[in-house]
Amino acid sequence: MLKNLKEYHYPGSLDEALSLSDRESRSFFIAGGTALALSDSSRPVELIDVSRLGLDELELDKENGKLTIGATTKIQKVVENKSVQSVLGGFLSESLEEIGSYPVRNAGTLGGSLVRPFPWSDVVPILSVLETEITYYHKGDEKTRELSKLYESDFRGTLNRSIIEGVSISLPEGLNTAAKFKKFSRSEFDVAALNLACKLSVEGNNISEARLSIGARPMIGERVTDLEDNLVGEKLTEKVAEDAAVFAADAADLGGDNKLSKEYRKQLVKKMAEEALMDIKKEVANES
Amino acid sequence: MDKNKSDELNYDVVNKSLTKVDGTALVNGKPVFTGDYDYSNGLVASILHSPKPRAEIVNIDVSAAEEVEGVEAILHQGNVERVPHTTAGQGYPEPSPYDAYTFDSKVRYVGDRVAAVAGESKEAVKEGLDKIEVEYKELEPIFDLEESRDSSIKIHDEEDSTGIYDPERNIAANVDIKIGDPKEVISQSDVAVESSCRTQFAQHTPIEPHVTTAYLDEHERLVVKTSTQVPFHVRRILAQVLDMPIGKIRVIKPRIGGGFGVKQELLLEDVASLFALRTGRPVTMEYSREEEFNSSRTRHPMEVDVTLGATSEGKLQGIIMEVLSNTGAYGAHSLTVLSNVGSKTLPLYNKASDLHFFGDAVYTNLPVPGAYRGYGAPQGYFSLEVAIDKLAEKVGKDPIEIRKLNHIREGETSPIFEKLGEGKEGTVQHIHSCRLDECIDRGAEEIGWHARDEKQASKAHRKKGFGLAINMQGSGIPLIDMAAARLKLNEDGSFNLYVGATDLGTGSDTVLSQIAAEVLEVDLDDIIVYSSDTDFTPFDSGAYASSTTYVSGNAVEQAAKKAKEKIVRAFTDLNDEDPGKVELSDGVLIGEEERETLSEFALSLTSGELETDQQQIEASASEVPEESPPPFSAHFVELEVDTRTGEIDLQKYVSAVDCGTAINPNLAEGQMEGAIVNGIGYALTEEMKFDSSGRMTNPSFFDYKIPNTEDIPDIEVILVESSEPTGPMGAKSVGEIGINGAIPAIANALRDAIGVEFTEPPFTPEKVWKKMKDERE
Amino acid sequence: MKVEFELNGEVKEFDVDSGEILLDLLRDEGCKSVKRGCETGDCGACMVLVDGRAMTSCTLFAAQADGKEVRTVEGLEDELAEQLKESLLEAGAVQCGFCIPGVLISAYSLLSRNEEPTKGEIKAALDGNLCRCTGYVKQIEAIKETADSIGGSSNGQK
Repeated sequence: MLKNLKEYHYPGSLDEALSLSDRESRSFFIAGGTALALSDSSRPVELIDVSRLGLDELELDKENGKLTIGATTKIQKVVENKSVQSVLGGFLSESLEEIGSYPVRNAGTLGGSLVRPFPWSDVVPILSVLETEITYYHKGDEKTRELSKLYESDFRGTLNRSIIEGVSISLPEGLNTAAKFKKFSRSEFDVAALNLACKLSVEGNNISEARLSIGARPMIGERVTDLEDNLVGEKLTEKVAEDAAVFAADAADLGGDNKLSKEYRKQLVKKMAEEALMDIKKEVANES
Repeated sequence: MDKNKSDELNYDVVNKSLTKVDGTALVNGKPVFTGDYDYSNGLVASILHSPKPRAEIVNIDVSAAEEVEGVEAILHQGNVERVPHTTAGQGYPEPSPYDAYTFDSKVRYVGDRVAAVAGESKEAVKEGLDKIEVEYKELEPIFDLEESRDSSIKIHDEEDSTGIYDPERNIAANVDIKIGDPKEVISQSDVAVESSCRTQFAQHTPIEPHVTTAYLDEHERLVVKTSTQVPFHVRRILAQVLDMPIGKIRVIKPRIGGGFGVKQELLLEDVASLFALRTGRPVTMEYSREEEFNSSRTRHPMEVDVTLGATSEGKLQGIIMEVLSNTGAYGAHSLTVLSNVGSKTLPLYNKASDLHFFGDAVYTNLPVPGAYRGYGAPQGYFSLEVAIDKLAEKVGKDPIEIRKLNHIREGETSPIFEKLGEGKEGTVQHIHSCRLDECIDRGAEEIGWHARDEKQASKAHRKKGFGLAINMQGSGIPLIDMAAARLKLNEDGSFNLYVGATDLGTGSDTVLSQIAAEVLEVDLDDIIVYSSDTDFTPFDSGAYASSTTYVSGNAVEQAAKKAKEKIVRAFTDLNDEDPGKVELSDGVLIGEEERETLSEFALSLTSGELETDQQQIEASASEVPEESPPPFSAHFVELEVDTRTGEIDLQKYVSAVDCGTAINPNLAEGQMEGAIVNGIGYALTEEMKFDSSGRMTNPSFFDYKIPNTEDIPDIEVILVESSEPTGPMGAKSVGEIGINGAIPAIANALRDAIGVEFTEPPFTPEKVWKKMKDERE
Repeated sequence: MKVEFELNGEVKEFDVDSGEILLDLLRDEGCKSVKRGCETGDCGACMVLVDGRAMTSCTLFAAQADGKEVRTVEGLEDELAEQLKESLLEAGAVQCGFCIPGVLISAYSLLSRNEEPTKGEIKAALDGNLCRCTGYVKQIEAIKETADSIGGSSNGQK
């Protein structure tokens, strides 16, 4: 319960939303509301609802290989979208379906889960392994950043008093790219205690591009770039997958919390990375 | 859908999966729960809970809170009478110590009561609670169960509490029953095995939290509408703590949103009543989910050590079971849950002649355990069934064979029945119905037990395991608890059935109506049931101890038989029929002279044409059970363990149960299915965790994980019906037994899969992984 | 502030506090099928349809309903809903019944978008509804039963 809340605004434009935000320092943007409604903070005085700014468009531009998703698009709408289901063998829809429960995905928006992501966010590692750009509106300017880089920097500072407009995903050309998402949680309806996303492109027999991001480490998703570099040029074999998984477990910055110990997270990374790589191997083989 | 309906039993209404009599209202979301009623001029109230695990309240300053606009009344130890009592809703005299007070000058766990505020709105109440200033003198707490008995800290040092076994040593209750000399017998036996298991704090989590409304009716009588399993015990305890005559209090239980034992307790009713009496206004109190976790009741965590002695053939000779039970800050149900650890388990293996069952229930500064489905039996069976599997291995027998060799059978008895009752000695009892062998055989067939060695794990890095556990429970508490029922004939031939029994979602209103309809030979629609209202329904101990179908069912059967006799007699008298020549069959009264439908006859009974012969036909009956016939069940699980990470894939769960006649097979299966999934949660994910100051760190569904639809395996319940001669239409109980199997069956399956013994649930992947790793090293 | 939305078929204006939660508003309006079980979006007892989509009303501000269509079980009376209710009752899927309005919303929403769900799809659609009484077995059966009977009748028409 937000006991000091006095105003709830529905601005009609991005500029109006930002000026409302500038006017009151204790104002917060709201989209799906799933996190804010649970809060019993006494801080928010005003809420600025961005759900009527037309930021809920979802478009697959096949010609240019770009998928753009507006920030206030509900996560479940992304999951159910036929175009999205066609992307990367269903990777995006299947992995986003791992978030929360059905009603949570119906209410929660993609932008909402990016603006103040929890450390266990599934969205961050999922989008980090794709070539995703995030666009946000800040002080009258539209800015674009590479998503995985943003979350490795001070994203809270960057996104403060900004409105995320959406993400744009460059789809890999050709068929020899596949991606997988793995999640470990205490029960089926639970946030991740560890999650891992991986995308590989294969040219000829060798890996031409690799991305692997681990989240809920317990910190927010982060790419394991040393591993990505190492994988390029390798042939995707069982042995390579196994070694890569061991490498990932060592290279990732893992920690312990009340859910899992650091040691156990390491063990899970080994298994999840290996499985993701082997699943990708299978899929790439089928496609080529 | 009626796959479990028995064809042999020839009933018209009973043994049929009829839909619940309250089902239509429920499925349409009608306002039938305690919190759904609106009251004009109503107040809401909440409790200020202790942030300290153990402290003395030096001073409470409520002056600022009283100034808050909308705050109407504040209760605390300074303005509420101090009456030692137990919050446990048990038959009088209660076997639990009187160690609780509505408000006390001491707090004994994080979540204990400090004060309460009633006000016009939730916001006003919250602000009022925030503004109460409490000065605590912190005292050193004790959290460790092992240390508590030898600690110099005395958790209950107040002078006015009574019934505590040994307050000096923090022992709330003690049990020590010895038959023969098991120590000697075991030392002489060919084979001896031991197991030592330790269970966790776990919560019931009914989806409806505790909720109560108290108000004064137009005659200034106190009415308490409450989500309880024990309306009559609530009325009696309220009379005690409020110092009011029982007759001035009415307790009503509307539909309730699940209980599982946590509502066999007086938790909000005393405070809401005090507010109603002081303000003269209706007062509603509702626990939040967080309060439900922190400040309601839990399952008793226990350490249970079992030693078995057997012949080289595996025939049991002696059993020693030692229990250390954590009863938290208060002793509600401490003695009886402790007793049940032995009384509900040891008779199952009655081939062991020499027995020793003993243990203590010990206070700690942690939340308060109470009654929870199974009531000690799940903890006892965990250790016992793990030990039985070890014995099987040691003597080279199949786990099924070893159990068949030792379990109790029809016509047999156990000395435990007589020696160990509910807080006192028990009663002699012989088993009249037991189809446990068939439960085992049918369960084994369904899970593929005998071909299990040929079954491979479904993936690389996985190992497959099968596990079994058998168990029994009881049906009510003999010679202590009672139930009564009353039937009234209406002018159209329908009947009002009044029962004190408490339907907590189990379907007991339906089951009891089916029994009445069967006896009276009318349709289920002709029985209009009204239950759980202390003003209008006869006494019933309440919904606990697997008692309702058996005990209340017997009361209903007798009342219905009496009603039927009275109808037949009235018809005989009025029509000058020969006594003994009239029968009521299928809604028709048939004599030698006259023939009349029951509805015609019922209408005529209140007709002016009868003049002075007009009459109301009514009948009532009380039932005090002399026995507590056990239902039996066998539980089988099939699972796979990922040897890299310890993740468990629970694939199949089969349980076969002998509950006597299933009055309503669908509802009986539902009891089993719900209990099984509750047990799976207890085995795999559920655990209340505490920080170093005794504060629960996961008091929400976000962090305390109960199973959802995607966590459950394939579940198959098989009803193996027997006919219990002492039960109504041959019925026994089925409410609790289903929860006893999951932990031992899963532990046994894990051991089968990876050869490692698991003794501390929940069996989380990390724990399994760590144990496998330790074992390898 | 004033918000206006369609509640169970009737457009209404409500005077709400900015921070008011939809669950509280709906219960105050007499929609008692909307249950309070956790207030953290975890149990699903407060589920409602917002523009046809199942959501937990405890995690929505009343203001968010502005301009939308909200349906609770009180307003769920069409053929599909009635068939579901009947199947739930017949299967013995209703024990205490406290979670049932939420289960009904989830099931209705599932069968509205997918007439022939698999058992796995039913489980997935109900993943936000906690039930402590039934162990879910009969709830899943009942929804399958409804899908079969409805699918059967539409197949018959074809």
